[in-house]
Amino acid sequence: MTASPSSNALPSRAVGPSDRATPGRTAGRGAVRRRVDLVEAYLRAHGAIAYLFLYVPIAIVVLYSFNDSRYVLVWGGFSLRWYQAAWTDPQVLNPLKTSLIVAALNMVCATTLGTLAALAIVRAPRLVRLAFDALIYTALIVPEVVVALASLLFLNSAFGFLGDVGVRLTFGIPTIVAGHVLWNLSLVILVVRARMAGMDRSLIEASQDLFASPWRTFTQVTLPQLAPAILAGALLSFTFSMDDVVLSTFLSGVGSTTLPMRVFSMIRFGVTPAVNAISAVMLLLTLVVIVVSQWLVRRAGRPSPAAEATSG
Amino acid sequence: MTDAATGGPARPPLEAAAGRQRGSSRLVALLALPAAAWYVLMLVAPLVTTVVISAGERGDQGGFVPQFTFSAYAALLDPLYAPVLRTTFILAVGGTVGCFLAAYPLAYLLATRGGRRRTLGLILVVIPFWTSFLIRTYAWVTILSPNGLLNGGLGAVGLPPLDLLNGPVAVYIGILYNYLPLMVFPIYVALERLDPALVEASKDLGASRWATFRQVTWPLTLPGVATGVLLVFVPLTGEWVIPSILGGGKSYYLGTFMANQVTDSRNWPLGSAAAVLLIAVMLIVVAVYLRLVGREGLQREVSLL
Amino acid sequence: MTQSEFERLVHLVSTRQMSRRQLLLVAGFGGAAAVLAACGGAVSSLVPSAGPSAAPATTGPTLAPASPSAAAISCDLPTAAQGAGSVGDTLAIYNWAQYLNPDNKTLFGKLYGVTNLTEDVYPSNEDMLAKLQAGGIGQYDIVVPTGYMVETMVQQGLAEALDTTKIPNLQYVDDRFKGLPFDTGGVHYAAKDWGTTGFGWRSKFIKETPASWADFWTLTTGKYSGKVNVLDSAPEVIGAALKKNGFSYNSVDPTELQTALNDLLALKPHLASISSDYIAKVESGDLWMGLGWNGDFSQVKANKDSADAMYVVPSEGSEFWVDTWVIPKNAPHLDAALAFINFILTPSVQGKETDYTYYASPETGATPCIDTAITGDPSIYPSPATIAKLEAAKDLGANQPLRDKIWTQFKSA
Repeated sequence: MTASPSSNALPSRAVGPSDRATPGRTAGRGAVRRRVDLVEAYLRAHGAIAYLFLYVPIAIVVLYSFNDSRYVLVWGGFSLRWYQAAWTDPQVLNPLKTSLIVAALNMVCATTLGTLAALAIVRAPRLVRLAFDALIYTALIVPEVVVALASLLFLNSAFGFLGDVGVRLTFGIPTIVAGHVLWNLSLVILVVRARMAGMDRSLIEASQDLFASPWRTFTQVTLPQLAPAILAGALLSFTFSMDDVVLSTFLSGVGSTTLPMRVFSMIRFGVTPAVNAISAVMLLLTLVVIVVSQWLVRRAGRPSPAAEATSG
Repeated sequence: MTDAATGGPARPPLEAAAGRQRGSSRLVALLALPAAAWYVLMLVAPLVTTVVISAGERGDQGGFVPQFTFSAYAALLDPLYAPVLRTTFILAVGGTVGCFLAAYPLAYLLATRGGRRRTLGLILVVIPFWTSFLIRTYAWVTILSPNGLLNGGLGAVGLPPLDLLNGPVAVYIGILYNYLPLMVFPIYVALERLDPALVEASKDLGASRWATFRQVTWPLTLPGVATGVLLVFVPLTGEWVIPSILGGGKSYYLGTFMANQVTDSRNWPLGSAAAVLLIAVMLIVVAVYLRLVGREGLQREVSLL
Repeated sequence: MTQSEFERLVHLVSTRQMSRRQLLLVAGFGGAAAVLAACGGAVSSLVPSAGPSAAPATTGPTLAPASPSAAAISCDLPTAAQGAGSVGDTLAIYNWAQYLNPDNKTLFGKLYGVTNLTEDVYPSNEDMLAKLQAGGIGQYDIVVPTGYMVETMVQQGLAEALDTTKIPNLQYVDDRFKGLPFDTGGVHYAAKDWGTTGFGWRSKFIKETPASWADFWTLTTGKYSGKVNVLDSAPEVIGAALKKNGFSYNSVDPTELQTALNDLLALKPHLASISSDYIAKVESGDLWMGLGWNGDFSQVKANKDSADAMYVVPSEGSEFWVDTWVIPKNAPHLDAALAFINFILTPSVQGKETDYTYYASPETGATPCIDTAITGDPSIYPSPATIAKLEAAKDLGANQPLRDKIWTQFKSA
């Protein structure tokens, strides 16, 4: 998760706030300097407000998980009862487990296939590239509810046909993952390709000049350069999966209710703070993982993969 | 990006180097095959199914009866649906512009000022989305409702209350909140790979900061922006849950319409026809857009090198 | 209407998701019931014509808190499987969330040896149907559609005709919940629970006592503009506008629908929102009135800060809904499904079910097995006279697109 992007750890890059903007030579120009400072101030304020914007609602979600009231919106005093409720209720725990499995599988499949495809598309003939482009964008454009219905219809007849020839397939976690991967595949390809467009080839060539095997070049040069994009794709994929309702609803089978499906079906009778409690615990776990890994990274202070590759 | 490590600013453009790889077409096929298979099975086949449904007719109890008719498409021409298209378009454009304005400075900040913490910063952008969509959108209801936290705060400092819930402001806040990462990530990725040597070079040549941004940073990050715009704009054309929760459900959107046709009204042909038309229109828009943006971005890049 | 008939109905409308303590608080609050009792009307299928296994009255006609039940009916839970033979070890239920008592599931599994009992959930009838239509058939053994959806399922050939000889406990279900008009050509459902559609308000904010759809319109477009919600659901909203004008809830007559649309368009600018999850906002006082289901406002009332909520079935009439147990066609575990429905219809099990869901059981005989706070809740259930004005929502078949256009115009106005 915190596999640092290629260049982060390079000493020349890991400097203070104004590493790129104001090298010493602009210092003499007072007016410019002032404007730069204004820009600097704006950027920082923007960042602060953005994170505030992102986390104030989350703070409320966590706060309301301690709500004694049955309802998400009404404060009824402090209580831990929803934590107890969530953690003893198999109707909440099982969907959570299903969701985590689906999200993890989806993340791995979409990121792997998407990255491989992105690598291939750059080198593919023009026509193939065009075909892929069409598929990628179509997948993003198709309204979810329509593709969900159509997938269900198609898979159902396909399964029926396969059943006739003796292969018995049913709906369940695999079909949900298949649907999620489709959407996230496009997402990963786009993000990875956005990084590859104009990616530094000199390193790859240097590696090849040094007679490194293609595999070694890939793992030690190409991959680290792509790492931020792959990480971004993986994060987005996991997030999509944890939150999807429509595709999951249509492509699920017996016993594969996901957490968002469960939450949405609670609407009719009111969503309880038990869902807040689950959210809060997941946030806590995520934050712990991040803090620990950051701490490990800082302690290790390891050299960057890119530097390793070029020096070896 | 990594010039600092290699010390060599001179780089052959991608196109020239690509020749080396031409021999490995088998590898290319192998790498692309799984994704291609996935697309065929999970996208092309369902799409064909959608087209088949759209040519059918609604059965009396819903679903569809196989036919070969364009009646569903003809039904869509009813002027009844014009306001639906208009509100959807305004929402998608407004939401995309809003997300861009919020995302670019944030991505820029992360990529250029993030230092060691940039990955952490990026992850922090996405973590809120690991809570349930409904729950975090409800949190905004708690904040914005007439008796909510915002008005509580305003009242405490003697300001008049704001009536934001069930209005456009609340809808745009909700959209911004839920779509921000889709815009931040591609822009961040583009900025992150931006070669600082180019920025330096521009400065060395005496270009102002603004000129540097306009002529170097912006064109080079355009592909990232284009990706972000796509990732936000396209799903927004089908969005309807956010307007229904934060906007009071008083507007009708294309997404609601299609979902309604599939479930409530059980008019699959009409829903499918709307989807097929939407897909066609969007593909044309995307193709034109990418052509323009892609060209420009590429030319700039080449000319700079 | 005799007192015992009245009493028998008293317990049939119940609420869900409130604590016993809260219910008892609520029980003393009977303004809405008084309004309801004032309504009168013609006879409908829901009004019992004969008392099937009538239980003794549990409360007096006053609106005082419920007195303890004195019935002599045994409410001990079954200790053995009913009927001979194994029913297999698997059962797949597709249900609304929080709509089946987990204790009953466990007990059924234990008694019948069904070790692999799964329960998946869906958010709406329509999602469930779309899923079944597009290939969900053959996966689930039991689904829980609302009445009008039973009709659709039957006509689509998606519902299995029930072998009633294997469900002897159907005898406990009141006759008025059997053979409802939405079912044709055999028995395809067993009633699960029921309720009404109307509107409710916070008497703390709204001092008037509206009793009709006309009142609802007057207050919404007048004094309380911007404080009212209607469900984001076409049948209920269009049905209300139709009823206001004295038409059928299920009308597909273009002229009648146009009249309804005009009323709806007049209402639209004054609505705060069109939403199906509005309950919490009524509790917090952000909304003052809303068109919704009886259960919605019992939830509001259950909160001690919003115990001033009222609910009424409008005097022009409205809708009642019945949720049902249905076995979809090609159910892989038919025997287990039949055994489950039979098990759940046992009066003692029904008691546990209503105690959990807070929705009225269709079995009068189960009354002694239900918490008296639920059966004695006098605040929201309609009088028999009001029940007489209720219509069941129907599947509109080929006329659905017509209604759909009305809804589109209302929503996009």
